Amino acid sequence: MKEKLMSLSQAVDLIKDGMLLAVGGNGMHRNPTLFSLALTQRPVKELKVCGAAPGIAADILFASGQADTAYFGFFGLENEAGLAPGMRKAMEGDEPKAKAIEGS
Amino acid sequence: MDYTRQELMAIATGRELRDGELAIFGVGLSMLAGYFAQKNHAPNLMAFTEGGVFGSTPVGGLPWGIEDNRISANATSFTNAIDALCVLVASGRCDVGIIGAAQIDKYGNVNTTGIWAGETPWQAGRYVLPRVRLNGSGGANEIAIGCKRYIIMAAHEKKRFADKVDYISSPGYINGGHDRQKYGFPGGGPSAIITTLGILRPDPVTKEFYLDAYFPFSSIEEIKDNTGWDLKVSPNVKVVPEPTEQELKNLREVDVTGSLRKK
Repeated sequence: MKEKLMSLSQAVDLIKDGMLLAVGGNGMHRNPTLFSLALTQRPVKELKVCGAAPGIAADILFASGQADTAYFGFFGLENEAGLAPGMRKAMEGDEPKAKAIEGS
Repeated sequence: MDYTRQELMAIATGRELRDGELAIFGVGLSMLAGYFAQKNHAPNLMAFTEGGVFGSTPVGGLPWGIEDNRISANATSFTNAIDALCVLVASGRCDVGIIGAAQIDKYGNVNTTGIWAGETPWQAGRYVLPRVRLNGSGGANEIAIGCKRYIIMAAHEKKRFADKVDYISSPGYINGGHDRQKYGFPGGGPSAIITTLGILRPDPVTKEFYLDAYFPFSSIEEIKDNTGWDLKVSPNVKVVPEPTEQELKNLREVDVTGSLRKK
């Protein structure tokens, strides 16, 4: 396992434009939030995001404009934190910058 | 007696659950209603969440999610959504489910996908994005399709109770009658819609929801005014009994952070 260990910045370097990312976690729980925050410091774009219940980590990528498509069962921040603001900002309005696949 | 609308909604929902049943709860109010039932009158209710947390009771108040430490801390087993939804629920073994709703119609169809505001989701054969994007069905679609029966909880407001939902995220009786059989759903459909004002149940033949009972602080007129279709009223319409002291005590022990007491 040890040879698989790498730093956050090395891991973020693996991400290229247009990749489909399976983002772990559920709503506000067990999200790779630091990974998403590190990704916002890179110029990668047109990312696609999938997950059963993407939350805060995926929302960051829509808020930063780096993700343009989501495949999901539930996308939100759970309970009192409510709907995902970054995802909504990207997907609503007359000219949405991102889309959710039908059935999501 | 001093209690809130949400508290009576949770108690009325809990009263629908019976001892020994296998039950799945969505997040939020449905979880409080379900675990209240377990504490109050159904100690052998076997509960699980769509995240695959089996046989637990919440610790320290309302869990935020389906895999929150507050719910998983004392679980008998903690597997995954595939086991919970795609095996246990989809095979038709689950007795009862509880889900919430953003928008709901007279056949018990639930929309948690988005609000299209008069437009249709399919224009010229293409799917178009909603005006307001909601969070999606999560596991509620599987619960609606697979559970032997399920209960829908919703705040009773005219904008939520529509003649027809913009999009069916979790199907109730679709267009009424035998529509569920047509699609081959294993589950029986919604047995009740429990709101902040009263209880709606489906007509046995048409499957259109009618008013079965109203809360002591509500009235038939208030409920009809807050419903977006011409709501039929049962000839035997009843008043829902007030919560007993024991019921309130048990509910508040589950809802220690007071999520339901905010008016």
